[in-house]
Amino acid sequence: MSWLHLLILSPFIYTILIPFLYKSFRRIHTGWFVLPLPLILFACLIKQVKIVAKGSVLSYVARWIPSLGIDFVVYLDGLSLMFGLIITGVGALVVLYSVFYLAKEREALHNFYVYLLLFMGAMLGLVFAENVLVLYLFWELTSISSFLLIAFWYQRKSSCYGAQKAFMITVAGGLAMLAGVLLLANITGTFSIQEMISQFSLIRNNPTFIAAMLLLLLGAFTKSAQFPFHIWLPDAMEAPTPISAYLHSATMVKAGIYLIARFTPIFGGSMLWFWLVTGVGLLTLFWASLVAIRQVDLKAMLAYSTVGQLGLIICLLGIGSAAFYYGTGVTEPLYTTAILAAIFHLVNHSTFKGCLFMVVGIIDHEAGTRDIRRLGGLLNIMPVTFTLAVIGGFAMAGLPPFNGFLSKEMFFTGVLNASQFGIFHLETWGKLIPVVAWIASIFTFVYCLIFVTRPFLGKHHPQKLEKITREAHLGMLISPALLASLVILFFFFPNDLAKYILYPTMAAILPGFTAIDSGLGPIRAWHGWTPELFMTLGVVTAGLVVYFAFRKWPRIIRLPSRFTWNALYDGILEKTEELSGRVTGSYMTGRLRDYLIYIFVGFIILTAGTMVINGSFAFDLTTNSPVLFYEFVLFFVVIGAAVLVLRGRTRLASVVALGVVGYLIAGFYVILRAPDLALTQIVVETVTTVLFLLCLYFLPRWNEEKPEGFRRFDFVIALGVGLTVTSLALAASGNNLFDSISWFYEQAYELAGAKNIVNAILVDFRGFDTMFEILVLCIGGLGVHTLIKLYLEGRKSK
Amino acid sequence: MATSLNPTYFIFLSAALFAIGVYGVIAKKNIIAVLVSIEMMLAAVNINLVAFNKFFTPEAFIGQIFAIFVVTVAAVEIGLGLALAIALVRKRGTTNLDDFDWLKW
Amino acid sequence: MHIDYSLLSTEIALAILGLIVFTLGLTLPSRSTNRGLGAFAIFGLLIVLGITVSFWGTQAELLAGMYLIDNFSVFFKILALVAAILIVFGTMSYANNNLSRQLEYYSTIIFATLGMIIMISAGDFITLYIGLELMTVSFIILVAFRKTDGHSLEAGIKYLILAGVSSAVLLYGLSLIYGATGTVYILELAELVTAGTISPLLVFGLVLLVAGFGFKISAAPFHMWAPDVYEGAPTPITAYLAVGSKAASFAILVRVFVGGLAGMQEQWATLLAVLAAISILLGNLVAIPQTNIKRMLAYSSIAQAGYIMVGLLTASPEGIKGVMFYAFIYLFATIGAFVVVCAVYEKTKSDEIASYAGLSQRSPLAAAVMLISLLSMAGIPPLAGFVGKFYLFTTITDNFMWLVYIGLIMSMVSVYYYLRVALVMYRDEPTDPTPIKMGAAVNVTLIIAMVATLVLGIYPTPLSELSNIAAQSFFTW
Repeated sequence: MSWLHLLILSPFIYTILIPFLYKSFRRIHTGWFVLPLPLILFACLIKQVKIVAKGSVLSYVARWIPSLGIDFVVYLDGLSLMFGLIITGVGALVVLYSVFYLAKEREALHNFYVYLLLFMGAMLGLVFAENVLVLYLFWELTSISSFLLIAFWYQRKSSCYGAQKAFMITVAGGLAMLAGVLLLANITGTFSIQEMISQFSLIRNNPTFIAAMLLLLLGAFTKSAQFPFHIWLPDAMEAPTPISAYLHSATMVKAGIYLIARFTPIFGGSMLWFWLVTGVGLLTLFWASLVAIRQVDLKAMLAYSTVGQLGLIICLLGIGSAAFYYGTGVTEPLYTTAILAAIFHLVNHSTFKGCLFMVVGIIDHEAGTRDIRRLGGLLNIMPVTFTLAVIGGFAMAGLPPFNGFLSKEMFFTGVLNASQFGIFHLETWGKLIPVVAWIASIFTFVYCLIFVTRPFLGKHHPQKLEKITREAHLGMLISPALLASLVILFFFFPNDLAKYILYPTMAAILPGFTAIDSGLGPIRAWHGWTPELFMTLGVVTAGLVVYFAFRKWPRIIRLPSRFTWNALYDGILEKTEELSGRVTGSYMTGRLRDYLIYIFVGFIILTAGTMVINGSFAFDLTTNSPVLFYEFVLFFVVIGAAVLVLRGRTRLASVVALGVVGYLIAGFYVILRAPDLALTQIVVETVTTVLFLLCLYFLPRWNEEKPEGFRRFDFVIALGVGLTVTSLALAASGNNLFDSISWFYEQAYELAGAKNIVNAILVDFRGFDTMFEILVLCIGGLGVHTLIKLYLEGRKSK
Repeated sequence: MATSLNPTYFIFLSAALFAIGVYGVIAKKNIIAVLVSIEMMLAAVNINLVAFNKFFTPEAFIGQIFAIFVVTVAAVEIGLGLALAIALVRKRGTTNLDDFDWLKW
Repeated sequence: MHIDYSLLSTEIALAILGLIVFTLGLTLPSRSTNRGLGAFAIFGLLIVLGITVSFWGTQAELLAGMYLIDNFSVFFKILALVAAILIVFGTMSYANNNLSRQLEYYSTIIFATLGMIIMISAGDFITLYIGLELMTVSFIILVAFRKTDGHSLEAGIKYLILAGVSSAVLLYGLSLIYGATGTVYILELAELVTAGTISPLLVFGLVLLVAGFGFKISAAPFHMWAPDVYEGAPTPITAYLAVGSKAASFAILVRVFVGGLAGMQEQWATLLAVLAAISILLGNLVAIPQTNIKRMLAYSSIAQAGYIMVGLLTASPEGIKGVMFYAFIYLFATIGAFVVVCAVYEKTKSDEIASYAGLSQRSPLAAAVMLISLLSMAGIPPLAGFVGKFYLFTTITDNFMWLVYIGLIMSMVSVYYYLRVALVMYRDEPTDPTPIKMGAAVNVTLIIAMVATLVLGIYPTPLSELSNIAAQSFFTW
């Protein structure tokens, strides 16, 4: 246990206190009690920044499940530290915001904060985990807490639908990731991420390399809502807005990015990885930005924009992974700019998107709606909120003087660089990347403009709103204002941020990277009349054109609802359920005879299959010596009687035939030198027959029912069973005998002093079994007694 | 008493009885008939046990002992089955297995 | 010949307890003593549990290998007894209200436990068969125990006939193995099979054994009885069938296949892998549209059987350890779920999932336990089910990777239908908002189940060490 373990566990421990705090201090908003925790954690982590910036890495071990080689190893390097800071920093702001957003009178605050802390701990565990299984554990825990938080307002049907969808998709991805890391663990023989990275060449040469990569990416793409798994994120917006700001824009959805960054040293450099990560990221960016334009719900718009921005970051990571084409990774700016841009944009996105979500929350809270068709003219009513929206919105659009401008320019540099790599067929296809990125940026610009203008400019229609709109409470404005100031701060001091946060993070992704000889110049807002700047100017111009021509667009870009991915998701669920229902209905008929048929068919298939696989059909009939005549006769009499049992017209005939079979079998025992057994058989057979006859008195006659025909299908099955069994009988003749065991025989006479060996064995050596057999008989009797008693009681009551 | 010196013949017999039992179990509708068929399957087992005992381990009586246990336990099962049949007649008015399909899907 | 009967003290004590409870039930006149009878049964079972625990570390064979006592068998005996105690304790009020004749009820449960324990320790086929039949006969009576209810009787006759047929198949297999090797002793069998050539007779006997045991553990395609019997039987008995009967059958399956027929592993490993795959697929897929919670749990228990079978495939100590670990955590999850089913039934008189609407408001504890139990069965971390599945599936990553994928995908499917129950409990408004009052016994049982599922998920080391020791003892014969 170290301080870092405690840091991860502290939110979990704190959750235990929340219900008590909630119950004992009803007058104080529970959020105030929660707030100190993320602040303290943030302070703890900020202290590490200097240490990590110097290039040191911290790692602590705690024993956990030694038998599996799973230790709770935590690992603090630039990458995890950056995530840790975002988780705790944004966490603190979100808690503060939620204090004013959620009314303490109406909401189940204790649940809310328990889930929130659960998530915070899970997310911290995820980024600090060094063991892939621990990582998976926390990965799924974030899905669970996200489920609980989305379904926080569980009375709403859409909340539950969204929660379920998010859970299904992310958990499925998590399982895929588990399979992927298990494959990696299988190759390397370790669960440690760092040890895996050190054995990367072993992994790359393994045939399961591709499978592991695909599975891992599936995990990352589902979590980070990449196309076509992005469908859960817009539905997840049913969560309370602080949660959307926290989980679904700043932290949880970035877990996929974390995973990709973490495993880039292993998979980077492979062409498939490059194209998958870059391609999916780019496609997501393009698609989501396009869809975002036609959203009328502000939150849905932000959801799609989040999806797009995540795609942008992932695309950049994909481009940067080309650095690993040359072994352990080159550190030339041509490759590393993309990685730097990815990290920078990730940090920036957390700031401006957090701010924007909180702005939407304020609008929702004060105006009662997030629908841009009903909103308008809020500028005069909520000037502060408007300012915040402008800062966040223009940062996202990539305009100066906001941090988004810097990272957007670097994004353009990154995609332009990609076409110059000269590997992975980039000479030809690489030209596409900047083009698509540029078009997507236009769409991004357009929806940012819509977001900033529609609710705030134009005419205010109070009659469309449910309540009178005012500027938000000061407390609610603190958090977004802090984030907005960061947005501006990062624009003016990007190099300090780079020195302490961005470069250490890069060093964690690229093992050979050092800030000094990286060749990356200082980040500057003005870097001359570069292609990137022209691209930005083009985006602004084209964006304005699109924005003003936009009113005619929505219908054109709307797909019929049948063809959307959502319809696919719903359809799969629905069809599976229907199919499963139909299958069950048709085979679980409730009829015993059907069940027995399935069982025997299954049995025949299993037997035949095993026999064929093992090549056991080898008969040797030559050793069979002739069978005596009277044995033949006995044989056919038994079979005949057995058939008669089943074909008997009256029940009496059947029962009598059964008796005959029993007595004839006793005859066989005599032939086989088993007189004791023969006697037992005769006694039991007599008793059974009498029992049957007695019971017939209580049961309805058979001939009252319709006579049963000969059932051909059943006969075939029985024949199949018979044939498989008989083929065995034939095979058995060539059977080698093992040494037999005559221990009892030798002991019986000496120890038990008995001449009747069977009896001696039964009573002396098998006394234990015999005792329990008697018990079985007793219980059988008991059962018969209780069942019959019912019959008698029933008659009495009549 | 003399007999041929390998168990194939008896395994044949046992296989035939077993198969007849299987047919009865899946083809018959009446509880009693099904119980009788199970009885025949168990008899087939016993023939096997005793035959193997005779041919392979004649001086140890494991097979015979096993068979005795099987015979008795089979009787218990039949007894319980009959009792259940009576209770079912009382409650549901039939011993036809096809009528017992309240529990399904 | 000296026979150390003290080694049998668990069995003897349990038999005596059963007889005492039975006699008390007959002689005590008034109905008001029924509650006392249940308490007495629990008290007795606790003593037997203590005796069993004291055998931990003993490694002995009795009567030339007829009866085997090792940590493996002690582990499973403890499991069976804990299951019996928790079920009797947690469902006592259900039994008092719904089962008219408790005197036979408690003693029959004890005899069923005795059957399991004999089966778990069985060292030869005859003892195995006796134990199996003792258990089965007791369960037939228990399943049909609500004699006034036609459903219960129908479940009883279905169980009787299908169990009878499966017993016949199993016996036929045992007789063939006896014919092929000339022995019924599992330890001797192990030596003979490893040394001798593998005859077709042996292979065929093996397949029959798979079919016979497959029925007992409710593995597909021998599983059809489970949903019907689970639905029709009184709920405590369903729980005991799902936990006790299944665990004991797995114990003997391990004993016979891994202990006795390890030399034929290549013949049966693929067979069991196919059965496991079918069980996992079928159990999970068919559970989706179920509307009755007991049926849904039945199908999910079929899938669970598939998961546990995975542990047998490698015939290694790690696999056996996985089987034991999973069996134990499955016990808590299943009992948690079924005790909730009992409690809800007492109030609503319904087992339909729809009647769980708003359970989170009517009884937060019951809803929480149900949710945690279901998620644990689905294998979601950090609950115990995940660790269990992890132990099982890591053993087969070398040879049966396809099965791992099936397991993972189907885990996903199971999340879906478990989640539906969760949504009904947490989202829907209750039709009747009155709180469900549960007795102290029910609450205690639920809390035990919940805490065990949580704690063993986060810190599985103690149990995993125990199952490791037990698995080692299994391989030292």
